[in-house]
This record gives sequence, C-alpha cells and structure tokens, in this order.
Amino acid sequence: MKKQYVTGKNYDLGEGEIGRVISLILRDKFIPMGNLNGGSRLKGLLVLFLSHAFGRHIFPRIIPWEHKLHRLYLLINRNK
Amino acid sequence: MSMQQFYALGQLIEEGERISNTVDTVSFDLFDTLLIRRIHNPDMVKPAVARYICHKINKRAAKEGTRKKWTWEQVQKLRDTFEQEQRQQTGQRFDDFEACYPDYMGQLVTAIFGEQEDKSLLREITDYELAVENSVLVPRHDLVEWLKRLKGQGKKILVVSDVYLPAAHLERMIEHAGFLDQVDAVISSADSFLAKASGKAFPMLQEQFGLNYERWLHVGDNPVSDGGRPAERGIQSLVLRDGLEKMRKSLAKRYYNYALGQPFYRGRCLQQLMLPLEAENIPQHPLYVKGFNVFAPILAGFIQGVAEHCLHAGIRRIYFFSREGWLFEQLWNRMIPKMYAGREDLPETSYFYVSRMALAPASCGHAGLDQEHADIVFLPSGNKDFRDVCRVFGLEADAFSDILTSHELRQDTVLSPLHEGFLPRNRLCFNEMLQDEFFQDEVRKQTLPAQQALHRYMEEQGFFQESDVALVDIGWLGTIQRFLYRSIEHREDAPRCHGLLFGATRGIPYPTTPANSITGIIYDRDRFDLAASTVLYNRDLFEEACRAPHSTLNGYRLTEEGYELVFRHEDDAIGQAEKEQDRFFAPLQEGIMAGAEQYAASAAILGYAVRDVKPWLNYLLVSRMAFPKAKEIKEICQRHHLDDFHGQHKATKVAAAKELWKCSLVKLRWRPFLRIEFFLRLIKDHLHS
Repeated sequence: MKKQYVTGKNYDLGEGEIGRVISLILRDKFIPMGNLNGGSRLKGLLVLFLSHAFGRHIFPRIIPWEHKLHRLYLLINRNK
Repeated sequence: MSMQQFYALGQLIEEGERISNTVDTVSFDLFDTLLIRRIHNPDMVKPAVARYICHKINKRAAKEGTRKKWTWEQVQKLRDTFEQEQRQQTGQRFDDFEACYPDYMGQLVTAIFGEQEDKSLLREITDYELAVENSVLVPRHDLVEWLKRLKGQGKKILVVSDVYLPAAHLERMIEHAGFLDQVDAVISSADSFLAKASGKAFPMLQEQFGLNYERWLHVGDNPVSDGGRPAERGIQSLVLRDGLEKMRKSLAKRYYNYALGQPFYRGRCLQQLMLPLEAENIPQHPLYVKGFNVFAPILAGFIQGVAEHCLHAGIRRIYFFSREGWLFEQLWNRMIPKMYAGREDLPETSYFYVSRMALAPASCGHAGLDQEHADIVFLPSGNKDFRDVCRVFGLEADAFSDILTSHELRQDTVLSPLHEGFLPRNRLCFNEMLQDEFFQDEVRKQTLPAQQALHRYMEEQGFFQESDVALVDIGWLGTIQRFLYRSIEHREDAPRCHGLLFGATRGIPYPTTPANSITGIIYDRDRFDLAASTVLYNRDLFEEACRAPHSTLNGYRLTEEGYELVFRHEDDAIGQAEKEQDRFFAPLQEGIMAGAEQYAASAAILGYAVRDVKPWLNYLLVSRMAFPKAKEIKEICQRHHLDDFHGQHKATKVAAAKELWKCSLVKLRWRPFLRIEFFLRLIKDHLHS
C-alpha cells in the first residue's frame, strides 16, 4: 500500500477532510445525520475550504505585504 | 550591514550557507525560528498551568476545610497582573518591558498558597509549564540541520530569545528538541532584561562573548528584533517570514475561533493541534494514518470519558478487560497523566484477563445455570443444541445423559429457533430441566473449580479491596461483566461494578442494579444518539483495532498453588489467522497510540471535556462508518475475526443481515445511493426501537 502523510500538504487531516466535512454538512441539510451540535455555518466552511485548498499558493505570495494587509484588515473591521 | 528577508526557509538556508564563510558566530532566535509551536498563540499554554495550580490549591483547601475555592480564571488573572506589574517596573529601569517567570510566578505562588510556601511548589509548577510547552514545540528540521552543519564548521552558536522564561528553562526546551549539544550558549531577555527588541541584547552579547559585529550572523523571524536591530549594529541578519507557517497558524487560529462559537469545531480544532509537523510528518502506512486521524480521537475520547466518569463517581480502581482493554490501558497510561497532571485521586489501573468463554463456567459455580443465562447461548446463530450450552459453560455433556433423557431431550436436540428441526416444546423441556435440582447440582459440581480459580485470581488482583471498581471493555451487551458479577455477587466483599463500555448496544436487557451497571461512553442504546450508533455498522472493526497481541483466555484452572490462566493455543489455523490479523492491524494500533498522546496534550491545552469534542467524534463516526469511501473499506476491512462463543453451526432460518461493510467493491463504487439507503435503514431501526 502506498504510504501517506498524517498532515496533508494543505495542513488538513490526511487528504481532503474539509471536503468530507462539507459533504456531510450538506447531507445533514436533507437527512438528519445525528447530533453534530449545530454543525457548521456554510460561510465558515467555505473559508476553510478555500484556505486549505489555495492557502499554499496564496500565503507565500501575500506575506511580503503582510503589514499593509493587516492595516487594511483592521480598517475594514473598524468600519463594520 | 542590512537585513535580508526571505519568504521560504530553503532560500534563507541557501543564502546563509553562502555567507557562512564570512562569519564566526551565528545567533538564532528560538521561538518561531528554531522551534515552532503547534498553537497559534503562545499564551494558550497558560490556562493549562492555571488549571493545574487551581486544582492544587483547591485540593489543599478541601483538606484544610477552607471555604475559598479558586477558579482557573482567577489564577490566570492574578498571574497576568503580576506579570504586567513586573513588566512595568522593568520598563522604568530598562528600555524593554521584560518579565522573568520565576519572579512573578514566585509572587503568584506566595499570593495563592501563603507566605510559608517553599520553592518546591514553584519548581513543580515550572516543570508542568515546561512539559506543556514541550508538548507543543517542534524543531524546524531544516534549520536545525543547518545549525548542526554550522557547528560542525566550528562556528560559535548562540540561541537568543526575548521571552519571560530564563535561559535555564530555554535550555530544557532545546534539550527536549534534541540539539542542546550543538549550542554554545542560550541567552534570554528574562535574565538581563536586555532584549533584542530594543537592540540592547546585542552589545551585551558582544561584550559577554567577545564577538566581532562584522563576523556575526543573526537569524530570526521578526523584522525589527531580528532584522533591523542587529543590522543597526553592523550584524548581518537574515529574517524568515515563512508563508506556509503563516498559513498553518492562520488555520489553527481559524479553527480555534470557530470552536469558540460553534461546538462542532472543538474536536476539529483539537485535531489540528494534534497534527505532526516538520520531521514528525513522515510517510506512513495508510492504516497508521487512519489510526492517527480517525481511531485515535474516538478511542482517546472514550478513555477521557472513562477518566471523567471515575473522577466524578470517586472510583479508585479500574480493570481493563482483555483483550481490547490492552489498548485501552496503553492509551490510559499515555494520556491520563498528561491530561490530569498533579491529580492524586486518579484511579489505579490493572489489566484483567477475562473472556466470555472463561467467565461463563465461573458464573455457574455458586448460582447454577438459570434460563436467562442459558438463553444467551442461543443468541448467536452458530449455537444450536445442548452441546453448545456445554461448550460455552464448560460442562461435560455426557454427565447429563440421564437428566436429559428424563426431560425427553438428547444432546443433539435442536434448541435454537434459528435452526431446522426446532420444536418449541423441546425448548420448554429444556427450561424445565433448568429447574431440576439434580441438573443444577451437576452444573455447580462441574463449574465450582473454575469459580474458585477466578476468585483466587481476583483476590490477587485486589478486586475485593475497593468498594467501587470500574470495568472497562469495548462492549457490547455487557455479557462479560454479567458473567463476572454473577460469579461474585454472593460474596459480602463484592465491590459495586461500574461497567464503562465503548459502545453499549444492549441487545438483551442488562440486569442493572445499584451494585452492577453498564454505561456506554461513546454509544449507549439508552441514549438516543443516531450518529454514534453508526459504530454498529462494523463492531468487529473496533474489536480488532483494539485487540491485544496475545491469544484469548480459555479458562481459569484451579491448581494446588492457586490458579492458572489457560490461554487458547495459537498453533492451529484459527490461531494463525488471528496472528495474521494482528500483524495487519499493527500499524493501525501504532497510529492510535501516537495520536492519543497528541490528543492528551492538545486536550490539556484547550481544556476540553468529552462533551466538547463529542459532536466532532460523531462526525468522524458517521463519515467513516456510514459514508466510507470504497477504497477505505478495502484498506481497513479486517481479514479474520475469531469468536469462540459463537458456534460453528450454520443457521438455516436466518437471512444474512445486509451490511454496508460487506457489500462488494463494485456495488460500493457504482451505487451512488447505497450508503444513503443503509443510513435510512439505520434511522428506521432506531425509530422502531
């Protein structure tokens, strides 16, 4: 059997756990899957999915502008 | 000199290698450079220490009869206050607002425990804090390897950190990370209050070690402290701003923040902190990965549940039943000292050799064989007649010939309704025979030695010394505990038995009394829990995953010296098949044990109880048991499963139950609604029951 990593390259559990979470949460909308204690909000799931899926390419590219982005982030939060 | 920034570790090391010929001294920042943390915020270790202190003071208060009870939040607040006060005082004398851990923690210990408190308590608390820190620290493999190469080239290696821990504490962390022997000196701002942030640390180092600024290279992660400040002095500096590290921490932070508002994420957040990093994350067998990512949190959650139950009920002794208890005991030993550090009321543990086949005869030594227990034999479809009753209860069938005849029965009279030739009248005759005193006398005569041997074994194990004992097993009906309790209930010194099962399916009602009960920790049929009930999809899988690598117990034999445990031979075909199965699941068990250790460290930091992580455990169960991928079933499905209790007869009147895990791979791959179909069937069964 082909060896695998416990921590995936995208810092997920193995490979594609976030995809499984999304599919189960969506299934839970139609058939009760049991006590998932409210499950998750779809917006949060989407953010996590994007972070896991594309973070590896995005973070190294935006880190030179980390301070400017942080200021922008604070500004947006203040105006909310 | 100017600083250079790098956004990937490889680039930094390449540049460092290039300029290493021009320097004699290389100083490294410690945190987020040589050592990275699994957690996104270093302050997350502090609540764990506050809980540790809180437990210690409350225990002492209870002993002394003091009314005041501390909460960990109060302890944490006091610690923060003392730390801030010291930082303010330092700021008046130095450029940096530094603090020194032994100083303000000494103040804290005195404030909480009283003036008379000696240094040993502070040492104990410090040891715990460093142990928690070590559990979240991981050395950056490539950077440490470069450090070793530099040391090999004869460079002076310094580790410099702006932190509240003194150098002696940092040395313990570096030692734990495994490269203290490569470092010439460790310097902390907590000792001198001269930090890198203000740049004052560099002249101090230059003077202390007689360094030349021009032949000095500094490596760190902070553009100001590790970049600008050394560059101002003419020191070459390399600053690492690692995008992937940023991503990892950002994810950890996101999971943590989500977990604050959405309980579903608590278990996921815990698993994010469990993940192996850097050199820990090496390619592993697929079953190891399953063990670490799926089985470890579920089984660790079970062990945590057992600990919580025992602490709540004041149970001081736990017996882990063989053979699944072997893994449970290993997990307990790896997890519980970390999770409940400093607690003296933790129960003692023992591994207890039992099996249904060994306990069934012992259960009849005093009480004989009643109908309720005889009926258990006919639950599995493989058992058919009186010979199966004798096999299970260790009886010699020939000795009952006359009694059988007097009740119009033979040894091969079919007594199970699942087999061809069954007549209800025969079962009535059998039940009548169970009322026969001659029958019961013969049963007692034959089974008494087994019971006496069991009692000797239990006495040796200290079973009768406690008033309450916890009996931990995988599940499912509680038959083992039922037999065990029946064999001791007549004794006056019999303890109250609290059965703590991974899953309690309660296929037959358990005779619950205040002195003898079972509770399912992960799944209990008495609690409506649809998600957790998915363990029923493949119970054998959990049994095999937890099973000890030794053969099953066949019985307790009475000897002149005391007793003897009789194990099943391993040299026959079934024994060999079991060994093969054990070898097959060895990587899975390795993964479970490694994962459980990380679970304990993460749970101690996050302060989560089982109820916090249960929604995530439910998700893991549903996604892996009810909605598995075809590939997963193929990878993990067990090859052999031995059960001596089940007979060898083939039932003719029972249709094989349809099970998802026994469907063909073609079906699993190409029938898109197959899993939904089975899940709807599970819901239906639940609603009916």
